[in-house]
Amino acid sequence: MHPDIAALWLSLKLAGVSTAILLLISTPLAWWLAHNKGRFKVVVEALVALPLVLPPTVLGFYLLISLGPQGAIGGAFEAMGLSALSFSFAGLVIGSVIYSLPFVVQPLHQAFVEIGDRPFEVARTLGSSGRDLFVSILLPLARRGYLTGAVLGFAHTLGEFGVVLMIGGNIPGKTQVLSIAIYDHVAALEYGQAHWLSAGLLILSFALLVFVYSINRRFDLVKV
Amino acid sequence: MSLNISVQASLGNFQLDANFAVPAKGVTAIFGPSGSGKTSLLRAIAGLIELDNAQIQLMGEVWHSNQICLPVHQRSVGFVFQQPSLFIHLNVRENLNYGFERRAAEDRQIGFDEVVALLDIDQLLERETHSLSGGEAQRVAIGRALLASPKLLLMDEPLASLDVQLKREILPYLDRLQRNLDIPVLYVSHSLEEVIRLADHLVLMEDGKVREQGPLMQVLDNNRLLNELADEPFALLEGRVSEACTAHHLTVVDASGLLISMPGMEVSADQAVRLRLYAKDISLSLGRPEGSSILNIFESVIADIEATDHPSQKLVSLKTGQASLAARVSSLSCDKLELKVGDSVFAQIKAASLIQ
Repeated sequence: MHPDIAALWLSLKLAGVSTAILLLISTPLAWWLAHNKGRFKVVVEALVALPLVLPPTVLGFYLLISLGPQGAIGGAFEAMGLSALSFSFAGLVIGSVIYSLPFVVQPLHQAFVEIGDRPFEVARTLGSSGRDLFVSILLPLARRGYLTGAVLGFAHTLGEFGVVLMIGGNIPGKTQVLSIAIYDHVAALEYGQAHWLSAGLLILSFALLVFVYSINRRFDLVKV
Repeated sequence: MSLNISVQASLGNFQLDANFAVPAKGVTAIFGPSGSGKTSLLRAIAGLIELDNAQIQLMGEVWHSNQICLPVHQRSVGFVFQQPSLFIHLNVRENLNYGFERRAAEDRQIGFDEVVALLDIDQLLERETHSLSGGEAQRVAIGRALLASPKLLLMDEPLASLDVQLKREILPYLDRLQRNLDIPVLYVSHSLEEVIRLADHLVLMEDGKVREQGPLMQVLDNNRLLNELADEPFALLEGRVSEACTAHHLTVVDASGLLISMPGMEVSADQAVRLRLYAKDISLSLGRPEGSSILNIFESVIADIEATDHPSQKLVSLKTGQASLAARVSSLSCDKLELKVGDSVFAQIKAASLIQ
């Protein structure tokens, strides 16, 4: 496979897997944030929003340390006979999930707050409970929040650079994603190829954002 | 047959302690000032609030105790909220079907078409919820609750969010519901108007406790209470139309033996009606008034004389046949006529109105 194609494929795979994981963990997290008022909530909100303000290299640096063979997480993996997570696809996924978390949690949080408690109260008095509530009430009512979160999480993961470079390095075919491939082309003065990849990413990201804005005109995060 | 409801719960600083029996048919109004715990009581019965320490029983079935807490979806209550709260991602038909589909076919007490006809919503079925008027939406919400075949229908001020016009539009449907269905209704309201119009039974709440309870007429057959609850004291009478329209365009109602004439109303003979007689519209006379233009004059006995909130006025309770009336008269007249308890007087009723 051409290394550029491999980088594109890896970027798409990384974004897809990360988005799926993000949706899974953001749902309970956003629900908790929407239904709690305690002091602890502020701390969790700040933690979730941290990747918005932190340089990706800081995040990547700490991830590299903890996921590497000497780190708490990577070390534990090695002790179990697995390989450490740094410089692997799994490591990239962990980094991406943390890095893109606010982009998925915040639209879901907003959607859950807007829905409020009432539809769930009504549904429960009408005989619904548990998973039925989730499928018949929460998912359809929070549909726009889910779409927004999924698209933003996906697009943001596609565009990440610093975190991936720090924890994944730049191993073609294994951890070299699109943004890093572009950087390599520019460093090697291969502007033609850099153009192709950059323009492709630009158009894709633009299209995704147009989609997000068309389904949801109010989205605080992107306005900032 | 009656439903015994017993709720003891602490909600923060608020103590809810309500025991009452509700007839298994008809409307029981839970009436009281804001903050008296009416809505909390309803939500506690439905299981919608977490209770620290509560006992809730309904028809001998324990719904909440220290050991068990039956989840909301197993309590078979219908709940109609102040706001229609329709599911906005579903159209009217899908809203109606939500509870219906979740009830096992053998447990269904009422058919889809029956509810649609009862509430007159067949024209709305394919509409989206945002296109409905407030009154239409509330009718759909009531239908949705009924279709879940509840054993008890809980209504939390279902008319409070509607303006006077829409209230008038919905009230006849609530009447119909009451006449056609066997489902007992607990109806929370702070509007005495709605209560005297709809309720058969009354539970009067105050500071989280039941102050009075019983059949509506019996509880309200107590002038002191009505004097306190109503801005303008009145007597409530139940009767039947004895003549719908006389030659002089009058309607005559037989209210426990009193034949009361009033301007012609759209009623049919023998229809059960409730009448309201304001104390301010009743005056007293020691002898039978001769040559009076007033149609309704009844011999009565003074049962009680009370002060009102203004020293110039007194409220005189009367026993008129089997009915209890009240007249608001000036303190000056009271003294001049030397009115006292046990005296015979003639009550002149200047106006009476049908409650509808």
